[in-house]
Amino acid sequence: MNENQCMARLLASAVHDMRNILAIVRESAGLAQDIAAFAAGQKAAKDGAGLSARGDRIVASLEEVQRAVQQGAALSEAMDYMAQAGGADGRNTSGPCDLTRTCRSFQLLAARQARAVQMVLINGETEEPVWINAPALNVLRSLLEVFDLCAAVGGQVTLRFTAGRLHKQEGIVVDVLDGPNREMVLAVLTGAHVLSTMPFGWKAALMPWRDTGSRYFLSLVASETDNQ
Amino acid sequence: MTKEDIKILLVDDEKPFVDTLAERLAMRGFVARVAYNGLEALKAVEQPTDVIVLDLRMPGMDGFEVLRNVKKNNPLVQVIILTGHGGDAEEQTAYRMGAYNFLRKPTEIDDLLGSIRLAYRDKLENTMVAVSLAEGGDFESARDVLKEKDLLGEKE
Repeated sequence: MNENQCMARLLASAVHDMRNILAIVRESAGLAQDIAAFAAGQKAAKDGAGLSARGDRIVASLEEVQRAVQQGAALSEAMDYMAQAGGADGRNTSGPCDLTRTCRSFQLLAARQARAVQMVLINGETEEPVWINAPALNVLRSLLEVFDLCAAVGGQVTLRFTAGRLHKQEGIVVDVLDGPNREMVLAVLTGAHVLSTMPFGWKAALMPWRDTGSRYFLSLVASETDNQ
Repeated sequence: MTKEDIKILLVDDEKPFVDTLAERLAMRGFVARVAYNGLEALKAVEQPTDVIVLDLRMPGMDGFEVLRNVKKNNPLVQVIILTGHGGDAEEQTAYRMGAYNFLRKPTEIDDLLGSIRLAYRDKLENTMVAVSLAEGGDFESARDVLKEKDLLGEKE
């Protein structure tokens, strides 16, 4: 068992428990909502009035709980994906991986860090899955490096990651959308070219996309040379 | 088909979860029995059962073993997996073993109910095909047999 598998297994175990906890919260809050709705129906039938202000407050709070559960469920799915990418279930993690799902997972997993540097991460929609013959963890790593490059110059920008192809090569289209620090981010991404944190045997490159000026293509290929 | 007609069995070792889920189903007019482990589930399925909502990771006998046993002895019973362990490998294995659907916790109760209804409808159709084969391929007499036994879900 290597380090990745160790972390992945423990993460998968924790996510399993977290999903169970979320399920209990969802059902308990749901039961309270059911009872509140039943009480509201009875009250309306009796006196034609709705719930009291306090009753309405309780209903609103329960809806907030359900929204939080929904967010937790999405985050759990992303964490589960990362655990699988790390080999939690003992399967081969060398790829291929679904880039659409990887982008979505990254956007969820990095959201908190993004908020800290006033960055917004958006997941671009694709009509069909785009598969790349690479480990999902390496893709996540390259996305995190792009994120770090932007954060290092102050963040404050909106980035969109979309699985795509350029010249028949699978990769991720990175769009720098808006934000007060957009020009700085464009400058640093334009100068990045080859990302530096890939493990031996892999090369990630960030290429400006034709003439758009604010779009890049992140490619990931197996390489026989070290990229350091 | 009335809601009470669907004989549901909930199997999960998370007691607070499964008890609350049963209560919510009851508030919607569905009667669901509960089992807290695999062995209890196999005992419970000896009673008439249409749809099982089954957790995978349970102490002792796990959900896969329950699923294998159910599909071997009661192949018409539909099994919906509802698990906190959401790996793709488990999902593929469950479908290969005959699970009707694979849901991850936490799920919306309406999504679960929708799946239960569809699973029940499929079970009725499968039952009709099975009886039809037993009746020598006569679909109409199979329909009559099932009507007599009130298994067609056409009461509503």
